[in-house]
Amino acid sequence: MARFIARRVLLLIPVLLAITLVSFLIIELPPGDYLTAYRAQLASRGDTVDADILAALEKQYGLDRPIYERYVKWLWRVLHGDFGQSFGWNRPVKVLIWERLGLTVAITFSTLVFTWIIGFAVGVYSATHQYSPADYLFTSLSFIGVGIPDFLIALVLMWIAYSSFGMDVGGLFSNEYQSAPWSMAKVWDLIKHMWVPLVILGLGGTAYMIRIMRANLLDELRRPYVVTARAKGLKESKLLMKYPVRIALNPFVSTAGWALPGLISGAMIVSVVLGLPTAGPIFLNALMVQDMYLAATFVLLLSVLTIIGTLISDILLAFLDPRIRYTAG
Amino acid sequence: MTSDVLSRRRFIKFAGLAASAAAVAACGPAAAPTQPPEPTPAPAQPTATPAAAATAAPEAVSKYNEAPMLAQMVAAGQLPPVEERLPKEPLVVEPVEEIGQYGGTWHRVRVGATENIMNSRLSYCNLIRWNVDGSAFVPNAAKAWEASEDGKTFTFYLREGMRWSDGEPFTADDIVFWFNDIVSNTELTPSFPTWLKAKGQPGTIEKVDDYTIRFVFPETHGLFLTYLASANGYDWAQSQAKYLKQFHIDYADADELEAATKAAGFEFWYQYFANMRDPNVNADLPVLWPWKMSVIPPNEPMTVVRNPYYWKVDTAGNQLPYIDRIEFTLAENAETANMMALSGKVDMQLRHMLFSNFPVFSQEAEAGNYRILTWTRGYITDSVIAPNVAHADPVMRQIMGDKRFRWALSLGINREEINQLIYLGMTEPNQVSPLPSSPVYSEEQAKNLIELDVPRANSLLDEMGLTDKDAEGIRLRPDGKPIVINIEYAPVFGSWGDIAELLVGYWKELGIQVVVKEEDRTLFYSRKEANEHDMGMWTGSAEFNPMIDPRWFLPLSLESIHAIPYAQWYTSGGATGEEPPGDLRTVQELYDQVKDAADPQVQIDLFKQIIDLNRENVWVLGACNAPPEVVIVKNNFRNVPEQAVSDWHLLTPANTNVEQYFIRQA
Repeated sequence: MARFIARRVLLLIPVLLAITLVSFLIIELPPGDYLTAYRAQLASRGDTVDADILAALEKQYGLDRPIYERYVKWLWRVLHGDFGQSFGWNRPVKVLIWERLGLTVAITFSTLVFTWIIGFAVGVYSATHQYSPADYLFTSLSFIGVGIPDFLIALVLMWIAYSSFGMDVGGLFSNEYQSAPWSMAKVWDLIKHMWVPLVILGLGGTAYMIRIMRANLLDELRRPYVVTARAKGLKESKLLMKYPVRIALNPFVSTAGWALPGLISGAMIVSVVLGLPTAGPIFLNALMVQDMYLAATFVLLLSVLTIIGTLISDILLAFLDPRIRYTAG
Repeated sequence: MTSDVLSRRRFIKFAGLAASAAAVAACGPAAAPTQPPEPTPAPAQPTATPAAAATAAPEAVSKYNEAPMLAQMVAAGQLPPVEERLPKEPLVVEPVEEIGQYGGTWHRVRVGATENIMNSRLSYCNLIRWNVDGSAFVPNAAKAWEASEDGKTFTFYLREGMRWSDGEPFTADDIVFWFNDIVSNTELTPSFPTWLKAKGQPGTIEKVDDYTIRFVFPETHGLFLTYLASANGYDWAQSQAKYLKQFHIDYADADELEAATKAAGFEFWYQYFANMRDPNVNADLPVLWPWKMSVIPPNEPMTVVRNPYYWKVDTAGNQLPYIDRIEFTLAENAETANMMALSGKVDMQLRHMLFSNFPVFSQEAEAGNYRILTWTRGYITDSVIAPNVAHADPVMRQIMGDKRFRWALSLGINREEINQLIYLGMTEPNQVSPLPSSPVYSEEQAKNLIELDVPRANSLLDEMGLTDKDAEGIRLRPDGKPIVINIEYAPVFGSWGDIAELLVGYWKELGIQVVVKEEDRTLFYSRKEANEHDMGMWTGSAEFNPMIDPRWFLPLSLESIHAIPYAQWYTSGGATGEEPPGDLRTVQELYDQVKDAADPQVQIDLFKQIIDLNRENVWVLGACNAPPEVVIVKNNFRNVPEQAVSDWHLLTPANTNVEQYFIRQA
């Protein structure tokens, strides 16, 4: 087990290197660079910028250097815990990302937990009460949840909240806490605001989980060992939890690793719609204006998160399902 | 549905009113021919203009007043008294409506976290300024100025006792530092600004005394004052010598600066310097603006707060600005910003307010408790249609470069339909021309070939020899391929895509196939600069005074979409690009002569020749003149003029003196 984990961690290094290189190249691929985007953005507001100012910026951002030189320099700094400067914000990248990444992880993780709890409870209920009215209700709801893209749900929810209740559901904090330092009151304010993105992001995943849980459990409940246990007079609750549910949980855990990147990219669109101060909007914008170091740093950190998520899910799976073996291959 | 009809009817009525008001306003300055801007000999005062012009130092004002929030600080001993904070001769601003009340917060919206217009459109801290309609210069940071007969030396008299926002005196040394240590430092400014050159030769600066500076050019610099009053180099108002010297390699201790640069995460001193001079990053930066940075991104909402040392007063001796602070709420995009304005969350704003939302704005005005002002645009049209006369494909260049082809294109456009469909009938058909209020206006040129005449257009194309057609009725090029024009544009202004779509049908009548290509802003910029386009679209550019940026009247810069290689040749002094043929070269030569002329009248005569050549050649096409700028103003937000000219080179709204806006408290 320890060897397995160590090997996996060592494998991370070349994978991450490859990811940074590819992402750097991809960001560089579109024609023009940050300054082109900057000029176009100003021009679209009717503001022009002189050639001398552009030349100054080019030198300031080091955009006059070849790409390999910029990449190697950036990587060298990353190894020292410095992610370079964001052009657009004119600030060190590390100042910009941690709080946003933190909020992203918080939302993603809460969504995952929310998805699991609801998915598990409803899935077990639906499987044990197959074809009951409640089962039909949950089934219909989950099909709707899977069918509608979450950004659309976000838009509709925002509209309803605004037009019916005069509520402004965007953002994660009330105005007074927006730039306040962290405190218990601010955390509570965050929790009050968090349920909207949580429900929106969780809907699709929850529905998916319900269906998986229900189908797996139905398969499992018809197995001979369940019938035998029931015939021997085992309590229904114990009978359910001891093996069938455990086996049925397998897909939950094995997809947790994929759920992380899925949630992060899904959360991006929802975050843009809801105006959340998470990584999504700022990352998207960095990509659009070719803010190299900021975008590359996001790619790097999100990749790290995804890889860690996959690793955790593999380890969990090993604990959960006795049938899984490690091979030294 | 009925309510819809009603509101639409009400809107059209309203729009008609607005349009006629705008028309009347637009005719105002045009009816009385405006004098060309003339340098005033110091210390004579410029002629007063009706809109908030500067006058001589106030008489009978024995004592200045200040905002309550500053009075408290003075009482607590945190600030010197107001008399010591103001210069000996503060600039007196005449309020638009009335003497205002102190206090309140001006709520605005910004799009994109780093958008900051405090140093430009909300301060306009140039040495001299344009007046509110861009027809004459008025004093600003300089109380007076003189230009020599030969147009080589320009002397400016500063205000004694004027101070930076940190209380340090503002003197000639600050401007000298900006010129010699920022603009002339090759690490900070690798390419010396064009506007500070005469005939390609950089100017120099002299300090005459603490309150007098002199710009000296080796050759006549006929447009120096024009450039100086426009959107150039206002950044000297955030370049205090004393403060910035601690980050400058020529003044600071080398080891300390090196350590500070590394600590801030930079490699080179000039990166760190630029960072410390960025108001988005460094709220401590001393400035001359009416408000200084207080809450900076990534903290929200971005906020600026009154500058206690601001150097202007109203006619009653109240120190300006009236408003305590401005908050800039962050919006994801322009449409969201418009939504916020609709719901009454914006006190006064024109940036990002879309003309396409005019009907909705009108509908919601009562509920949102705001009024809508329609200011004249400083550019002639929001949609210049620019055929690429320097096309990379020689066959297309031959076709596009033929003026008969461009005449035909112009005659094929149904401008009245465009006006009705896209501009709510609020504009008029017009070519790309100087505004009627400009000294080089020519009605002949403005209304040249704007009528719809498909038969004549077709006969012009036949005359060119483009008589063969394919089965679809599309004319064939000399090499046998059909004539296909890709119109490329970025989705920045709503009207571009709509007009391009209409052109498809209009020019099909002429046997020309049009393909509309919408592309990302950045991609569009890259493609046009690589000269890969057939035709592009963008807005006009400061046609209230075309001498500032005549990008559409000659191949001037990378913004002259119709002739990029010719413009590159012009800006690089022949090093890159291609030499323009015929009239395209002549207009460049004429513009050079404009810059070499010290006499404004000579400049006007020369520029009129440029306009005449444009009438003959029609290098770029205009559909209609620009719709008005939509300004959303809360009803209790006062001293905003009913009429003004809005342009980047007037740094609107600062040209209407934002420091005398005030919020009427109940």
